[in-house]
Amino acid sequence: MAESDVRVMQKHVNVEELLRFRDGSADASETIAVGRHLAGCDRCAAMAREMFLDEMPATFAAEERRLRPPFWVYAIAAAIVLAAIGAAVLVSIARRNATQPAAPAIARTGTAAPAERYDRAEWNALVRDALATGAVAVAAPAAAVSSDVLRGPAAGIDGAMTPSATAVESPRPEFSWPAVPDAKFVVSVVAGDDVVARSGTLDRNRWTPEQPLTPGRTYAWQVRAIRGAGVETLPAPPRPNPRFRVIGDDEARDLAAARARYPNDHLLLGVLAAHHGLRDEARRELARYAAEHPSPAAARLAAGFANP
Amino acid sequence: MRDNPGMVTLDETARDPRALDAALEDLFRRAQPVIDAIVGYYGGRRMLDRSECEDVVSTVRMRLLLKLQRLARGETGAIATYEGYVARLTYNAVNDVFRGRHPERAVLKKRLREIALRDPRFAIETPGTVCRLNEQAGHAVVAAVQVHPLPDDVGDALEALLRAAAGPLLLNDVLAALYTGAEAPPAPGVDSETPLIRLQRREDLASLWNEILLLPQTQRIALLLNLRGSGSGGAIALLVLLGVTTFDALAAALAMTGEELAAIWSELPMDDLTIAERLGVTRQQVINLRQSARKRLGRRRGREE
Repeated sequence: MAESDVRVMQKHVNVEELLRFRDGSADASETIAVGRHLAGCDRCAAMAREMFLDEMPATFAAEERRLRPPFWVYAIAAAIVLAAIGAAVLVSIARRNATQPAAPAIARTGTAAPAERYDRAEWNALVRDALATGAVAVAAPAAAVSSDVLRGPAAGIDGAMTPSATAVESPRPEFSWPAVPDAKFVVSVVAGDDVVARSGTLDRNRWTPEQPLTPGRTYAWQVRAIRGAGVETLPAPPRPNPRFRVIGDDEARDLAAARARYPNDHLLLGVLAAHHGLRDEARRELARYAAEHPSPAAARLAAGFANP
Repeated sequence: MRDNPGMVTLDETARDPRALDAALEDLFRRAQPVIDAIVGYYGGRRMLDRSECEDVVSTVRMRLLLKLQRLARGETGAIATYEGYVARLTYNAVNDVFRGRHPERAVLKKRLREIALRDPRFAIETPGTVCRLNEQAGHAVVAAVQVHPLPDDVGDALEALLRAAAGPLLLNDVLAALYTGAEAPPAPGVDSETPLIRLQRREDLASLWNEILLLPQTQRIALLLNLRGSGSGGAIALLVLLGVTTFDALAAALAMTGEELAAIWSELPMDDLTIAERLGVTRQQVINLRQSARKRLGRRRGREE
């Protein structure tokens, strides 16, 4: 053990050392010294417990929420039931009208048909799993934003505020919000605790930031509507601010490669868009796929990303 | 102080005003290095500017005074770990500042200040940190109390809060009561939770940890290395800081030594690609492992409830 470790182990831990341990800025020798000291010193352990007590509910509530079946599980279950009913109707129509090509299409677009033809194993796996389960495995960055990103806007947010509860591809996305007569607007975009972009005073309810946002980051935004001496905030408190994520460079390359190689494969493009959190594109592509290849699996997939 | 040097009670001195003043002075002297250390930590990293540092210090001192006055009146229990309590007040006040940078909350704070300044019902004291009703001039600052429901109008809500508290309030406490958005902070500095609730929360967390230990190793690693909190930084450190587990037990749960865990501590939480490389699996498999872990935990905890 280095001399500095002995120093920390021999005396009590101070608040700076606890803060460095908490935020991960301590070096390895200090980390292990503080960690082990807490295990053997009642006084410092009590100090640490007291100091970070209020972080416990906020931090672990997020994990607790992940342990509960999210709303979309019920939505998919409902979609499966609806898809089954839809399939029964399709089969019934097909039987009545033998000249319709619907039955062969259903057979051809089963769970395995297009799943092994891509030159990337991950794409094959994603498409195969999507057809089998009716859901798309969400990439870690998209999932890390919040489970609401792919499943619809957060409750209470005005749907007319975009982007909301989605990833976006452009680092300079266009923001739009409901028009307010005779009002001027100021848009603020926040990442973590920092305001990273702010519009000037705008006359119309649309704005595109001049500087690109950072790929891979999650942002929240809001609008101040100024009318005469009054100022309103959109969304009005206590509604949560709309959130979105700009996809990372790796994700953008993944999508670009798929578009270049399989420009007309709406299933692959839709599944990849969903995987990376691009909700609107996923909805558009999967709806096209479902229209071109009517099948329970396609309907189930498209229903999962239909407009909330 | 008795057997626990960190424990503070004021019941013996409360009857003698001079002894009480001396005791309070002594307690403030003990608190100041802790406050300075935490404020200096964030100020030194340029995470707080000078005025924010001053705001934190004055807020903490005011909240501490409120707590100690309640202690002297026998309205609240003893402080078990005084320096820890002061550290918590300060840490929460710093986090309040970080949260306050959200535009929505900042707008509300500005409106609140304007109303407190201009509305004839109110007055502002102590360079902008305390507000009161006009008739509460000369009253001591008190702790906020909960009012449900609050009127929609900010001025009316402020009046309701001040009347319910029956004394002047810290503007930050009023803001915490008014701000009911997703980022609403815990009411800092006031004992909004009983020790029993806190104990229950810790027991819940300990129970969750025990369930995590029962997961298959790869699922456990995929879950823990990516464990995120509500704010920045990983949540894994809190397991040690809150006494849910020890550093070496945490390392063992991750199938590594304490030295190995210390070496990656600053990289936590890890992204899936890095975890995948450590486990020798694909990124998708890491995602699947974590989903399986959450499903399993969810089922077990569902059974508990």
